[in-house]
Amino acid sequence: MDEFVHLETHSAFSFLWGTSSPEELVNTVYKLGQKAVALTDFSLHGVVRFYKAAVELGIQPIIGAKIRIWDDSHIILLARDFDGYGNLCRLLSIAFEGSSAPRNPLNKQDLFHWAKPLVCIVGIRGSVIHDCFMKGRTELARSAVVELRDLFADPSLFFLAVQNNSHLAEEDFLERQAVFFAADLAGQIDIPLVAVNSATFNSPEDYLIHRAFVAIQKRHHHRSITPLPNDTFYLASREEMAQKTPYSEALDNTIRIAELCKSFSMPLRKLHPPGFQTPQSAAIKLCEISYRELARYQQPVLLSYIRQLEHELTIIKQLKLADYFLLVREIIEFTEKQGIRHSIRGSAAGSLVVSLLLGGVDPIDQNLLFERFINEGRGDMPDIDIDFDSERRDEVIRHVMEKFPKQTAMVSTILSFKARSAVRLTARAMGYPLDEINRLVECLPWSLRGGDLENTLEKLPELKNAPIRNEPTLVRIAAKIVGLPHQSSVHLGGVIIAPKDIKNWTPVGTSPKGLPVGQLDKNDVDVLGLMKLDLLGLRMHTAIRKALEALWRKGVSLDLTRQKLDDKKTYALLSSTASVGIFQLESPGQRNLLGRLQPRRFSDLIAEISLFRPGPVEGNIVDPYVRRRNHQERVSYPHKDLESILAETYGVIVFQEQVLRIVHVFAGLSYAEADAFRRAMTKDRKSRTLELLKHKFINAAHERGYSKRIVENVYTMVAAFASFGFCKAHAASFAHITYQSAFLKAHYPQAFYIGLLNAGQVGSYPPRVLLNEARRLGIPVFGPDINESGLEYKAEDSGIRVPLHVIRGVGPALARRIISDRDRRGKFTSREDFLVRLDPPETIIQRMELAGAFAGIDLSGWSLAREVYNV
Amino acid sequence: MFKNTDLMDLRSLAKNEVKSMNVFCNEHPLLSLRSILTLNEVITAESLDSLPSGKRVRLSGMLVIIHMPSTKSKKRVIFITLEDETGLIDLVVFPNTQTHFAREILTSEILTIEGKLKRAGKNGLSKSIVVEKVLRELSGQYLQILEKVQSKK
Repeated sequence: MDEFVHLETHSAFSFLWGTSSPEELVNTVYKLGQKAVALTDFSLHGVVRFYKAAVELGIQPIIGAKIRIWDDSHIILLARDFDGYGNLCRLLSIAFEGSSAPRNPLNKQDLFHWAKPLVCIVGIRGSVIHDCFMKGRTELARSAVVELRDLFADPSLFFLAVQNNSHLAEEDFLERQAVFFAADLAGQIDIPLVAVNSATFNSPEDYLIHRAFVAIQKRHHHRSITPLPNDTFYLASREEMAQKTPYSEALDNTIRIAELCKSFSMPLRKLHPPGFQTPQSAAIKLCEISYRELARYQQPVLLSYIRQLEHELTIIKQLKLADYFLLVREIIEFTEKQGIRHSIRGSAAGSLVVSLLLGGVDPIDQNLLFERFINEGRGDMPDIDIDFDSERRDEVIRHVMEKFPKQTAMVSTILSFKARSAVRLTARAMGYPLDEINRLVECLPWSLRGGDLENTLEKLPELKNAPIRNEPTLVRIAAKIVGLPHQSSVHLGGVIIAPKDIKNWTPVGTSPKGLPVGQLDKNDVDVLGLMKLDLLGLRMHTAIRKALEALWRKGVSLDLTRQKLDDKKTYALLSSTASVGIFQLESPGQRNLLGRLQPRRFSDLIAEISLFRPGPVEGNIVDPYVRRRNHQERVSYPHKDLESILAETYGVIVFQEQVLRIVHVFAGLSYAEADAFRRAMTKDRKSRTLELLKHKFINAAHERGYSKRIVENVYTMVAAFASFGFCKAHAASFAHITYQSAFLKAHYPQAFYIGLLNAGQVGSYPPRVLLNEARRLGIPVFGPDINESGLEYKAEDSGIRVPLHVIRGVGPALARRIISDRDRRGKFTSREDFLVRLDPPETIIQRMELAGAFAGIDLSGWSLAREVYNV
Repeated sequence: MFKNTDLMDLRSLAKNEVKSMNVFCNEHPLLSLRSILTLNEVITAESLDSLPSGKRVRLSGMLVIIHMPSTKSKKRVIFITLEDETGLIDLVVFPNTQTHFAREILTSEILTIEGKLKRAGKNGLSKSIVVEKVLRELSGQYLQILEKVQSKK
């Protein structure tokens, strides 16, 4: 065992500074035989991963951060317990306020108010105190230390750092002098010393990566920053630390601080719902609304619906989730009031309560399964994922933020180096010119799938004689940084709603859109059991809305939500494979499958969406399904009891719901057990849980009187397909949008294309492909025209007029200027008139001419323009 | 009106559009290369409708989609969608062909290939081409091919 604890460390979550992932850091500490380690990045982005990794290896995790204070020094703060963690979050929130980086230094009041119960270490490298020691200005150092100490209520939690990172003989004197002065001052004013090493890399070899990171910061981000001076800032052993810092008390105090932080624990794997009202009152309210909506939906109400509703409400009440449903209901009510298109996605669509409260397909009619969404055995928060018109999604997010101002923040996303970005940025850091960098990354995959960079260069034929193969140093450094985080960003639609104050859980900064953003990514939120709403943006909703608006302008009013799902022309279009632009069915593979499947009804769309997925394709489900569907193969079932479950898919397991039903009906296990079985099959097929469930399945099925052969057959079938199946509820929700987009294409192709073209990149095909297809269908495409084009694609007679921004270099700003000038002062009468009024750069004018943007000018206005502008 | 323009006009129109825009408002640029493609026995996407499965064909198009999904065998299969003036063409490129032509496939704007037609489904509606080789002289950047074609003339 190594009797030392590193209390100042940086992982790669100190972006472009630290060189290892939290897991690698913990692993190195484990190999050194040290019992604890602190993580002190500039943020708390890496803490959940760090905590989990440390606990798994039996190492005590200490959560801390390195925070800048009023004199530009950094101090280390370590959480003693979860309250301390909350205060650390508050202090970091002050540092991050108004930004996604820690731009604000803490002032004395901040520290006085919040720095408890936290351990504080001052005098670390780069601080004013450390600088004073290096320069021998001990009096100044003394006053700075005392000033800081007086802010802390409990002086026993206040420590002075000593560190010696001398490398060369000439540096040695100053470093040792600093250590001596620190020790001397500590003795004089009775402050305990603690040894730190500012560990930024795991081993001295990784110093190269640190320098590359700093060079990226300088050259790519244009930051003024210097790297650490040498390779001594690594995770050293006690012996190595003792050679640098000959004060055993300072080394022992690292253990003492670890002891002080021993009671810290992160409440992982427990649910922490927001708790807006008591579970009892929420359940009653949910019950009232659900029955009222059912009575509205169905008259007379069928018994099967009442039974299902009662069943779902009982489970929701048991799991204390009524509050959650009411919250989502409130959001949907808001979106409906605002006229924002939305739909439920995922397993939630299998719930009758969801269908009644939030809309979506009828789960009983579509034979969906509530237990795929919620069952008594699930320990995590169920997800109700909602897709909104992507151009209006932010309105919904802002509504949630305003409704729960102290409890909410956006989920963060961590951007990691992919192969191509790693090579590009490393090359830039190493000073390669831009055209050379472009040459080096040509044909390099954006990201690597199973394999490292060096292997990829060997393996891929397109890189056989690539110039990058002659750059071993570049490749070596880039290979090391692939996968490491380099920047935090904001999750587009993930919103955390925490119980009480969000700052008990995470520091909160500000996104570029001005929204509060936390430092937990979606995995962290799940691990912490916090509620996360996925308010997703779906461009197809935008496209459909814009298509309907285009139709409305032509006097056609269409309500797609009320359409029957049996339009022959729509299915004929899909069967012809002309599905470019149609939601979920436009990829080459889907087009191919449409030709083979020839969909005739809504359930065919659900199957089509489910079949062309990596799971069913890899599981070889598609071909048997298609053959049986087309009567080229006999439909058979492993046992007649399974016929009712598998008849809809011709005896082939396609849906996850079918796996659950088989386990439930055939083996008599509960749906909770059946879902655990499905999840074990999907996530970890070698797990002990799966082995136990297998025995349970086989024994239970035997007990129900099935023969050994049949039981094994059914088990083999379920085991083979369980991980490949697709969630039918999700497919059914999507199929509804698919049908709507296909209906538009079949009946109103001009509006369909206009909707798609104006909704941004909706699917796989760029605007040029959509326009080419429109033209082939007889819809004329009119080029950009300074007097006719708008900001968006628009209908013009039976054709489509393209907007001005399709011309390279004409961005939205210039296009807006042109149009506003035209609206204000009338049409442009000549090229010269245009030049005088707008004065765009010559290159843009040339491109506009090539694009034919002046071709439609009415030449009769030319003489007038000449007179007025004298050109 | 456009149908009567001669080849020179067609080519200069296409060239102007490729140089100035991200979309084509007059005709698909491949139409301007069609005469030279026909000379090289390159057919159109539309004409695949009348050919039987297994037929060896030559096709050319602008690259639209490249997709490399993970496969059970871990071998890389490249799925490509091209577009010519008559429609979309779906290609499949297996590892042996990639060995010789991967670079051209991944860097070309216009790709001209030879391969076997595979048809499936009702009336053979689902069509794809298993690529056997890439015709290098008719693949690359559109403007470069156009220049090459014009200089040969």
